[in-house]
Amino acid sequence: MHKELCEICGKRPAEVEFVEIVDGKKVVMHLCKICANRKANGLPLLLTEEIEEDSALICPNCGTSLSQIKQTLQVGCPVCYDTFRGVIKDLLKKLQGSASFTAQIDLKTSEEKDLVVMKYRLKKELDKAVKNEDFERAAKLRDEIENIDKRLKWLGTNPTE
Amino acid sequence: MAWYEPYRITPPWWQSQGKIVASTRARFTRNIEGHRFPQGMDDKERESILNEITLSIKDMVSEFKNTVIDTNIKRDFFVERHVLSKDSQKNIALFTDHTEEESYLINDRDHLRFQITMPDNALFDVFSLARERLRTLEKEFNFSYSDAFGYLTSSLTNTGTGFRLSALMFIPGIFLARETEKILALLVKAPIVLRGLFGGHSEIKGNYLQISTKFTLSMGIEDDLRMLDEVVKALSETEEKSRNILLSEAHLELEDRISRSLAILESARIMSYDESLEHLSILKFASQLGFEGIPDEKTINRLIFWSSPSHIASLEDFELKDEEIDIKRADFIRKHLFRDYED
Repeated sequence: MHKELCEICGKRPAEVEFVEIVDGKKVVMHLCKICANRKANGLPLLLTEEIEEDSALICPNCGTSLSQIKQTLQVGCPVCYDTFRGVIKDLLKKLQGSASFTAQIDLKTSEEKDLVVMKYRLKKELDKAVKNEDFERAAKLRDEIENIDKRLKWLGTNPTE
Repeated sequence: MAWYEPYRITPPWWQSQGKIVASTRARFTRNIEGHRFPQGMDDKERESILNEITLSIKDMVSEFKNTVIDTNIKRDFFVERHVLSKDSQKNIALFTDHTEEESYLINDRDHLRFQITMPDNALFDVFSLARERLRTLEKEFNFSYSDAFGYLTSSLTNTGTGFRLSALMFIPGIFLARETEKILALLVKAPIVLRGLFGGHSEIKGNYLQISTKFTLSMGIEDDLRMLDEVVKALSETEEKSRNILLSEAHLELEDRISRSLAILESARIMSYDESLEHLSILKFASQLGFEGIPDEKTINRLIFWSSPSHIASLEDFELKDEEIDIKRADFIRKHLFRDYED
């Protein structure tokens, strides 16, 4: 569609219409896929020389090169994560503000978790009941939440609120 | 039967009425241990992954429908149905339940990406159902995982939990009252990503703003839920305030805007997608505010959904030329604006 060159690197053809809101105004830029992808993720521009240098480094399991990873921010297989560990950590740090996995993702259901979930649900219902001035129901919901808190305390979790 | 016949419906998750939060979605990305990611797989490996995951989905989802996305036409159609992103690969298998509330993509950039979408602010419900589905799948598969990085995904923006939670907000009040700048400044500080109607780099159109969680390495899935819930609440409050300001201080201007949009939709013979979105979303707004002489919101929702280019094209079996699409769209909207219709 666009025959002009990317407005950032000025080297690769512009293929993406990149829209941004800057100071409340809409700004449209025509970018190559590499620069658009990096800009969208807040990463600095990639030099052509850098790309050539990194194409020599290749993952033994899937053949993805380091330059491909830097350009697309995509890896080819789980082994890439080990092969290019250092670079991937750097990229993750820039993309996600963190280079190691610290998030909680325990899917195993436990009594605590179920109770926390239930409490969350009841609190929402309580909000609704209060809003609708259904005080009878609100009182009942408060009791239920209190019971959950007691149980949580017993289980060793401290209710925060 | 043509591949698009089972998709003649407007998905119920799109039928939010009277709400600022139009829909909410939870999405997990996972890969099966011991395999390369789809882009590097040969046909045999692709097929074995496909067969394996398909079996589990068939057990789990009742009344599913499925198709293979192997052409650009199909890709565009499913991008418009909000189950694919624009940068999707070829030869992806798509499974959904019949309402398209649950959808499963196999062999796109990752072996499996599935999402739960519901109308209105149902963050907690989509979260719970997605987690439930993942629990079931975890019994059948060993997903690629490392202690250092968490769940391994092809895109480094998903590494860790592989989880994203998002809300599609309908906020014409904020846009019309020119509060956008304030809102964006506020939202930029939160760990979220702002997007247009169709995700990716898509432009903000039709007064819809998609907000989604951002960090998958450091934010736990329950943290995502709490955080997004707060952001959605704050944004909804601002939208309510903006609506009240518009109604009390700019009632005539608002009425003028609505009447003009209605007149254009009723009389245009050629209409681009952007133009239809602009005016239909004003009518949706008018309907939510209780203005009279406006089509009901359900009809407007349907028209917004079916005005997208591939959906208009599908009405004529994809035989339309580009310039004919804008004509067909204008006809379609005029014909259905005040007449209830079933999909």
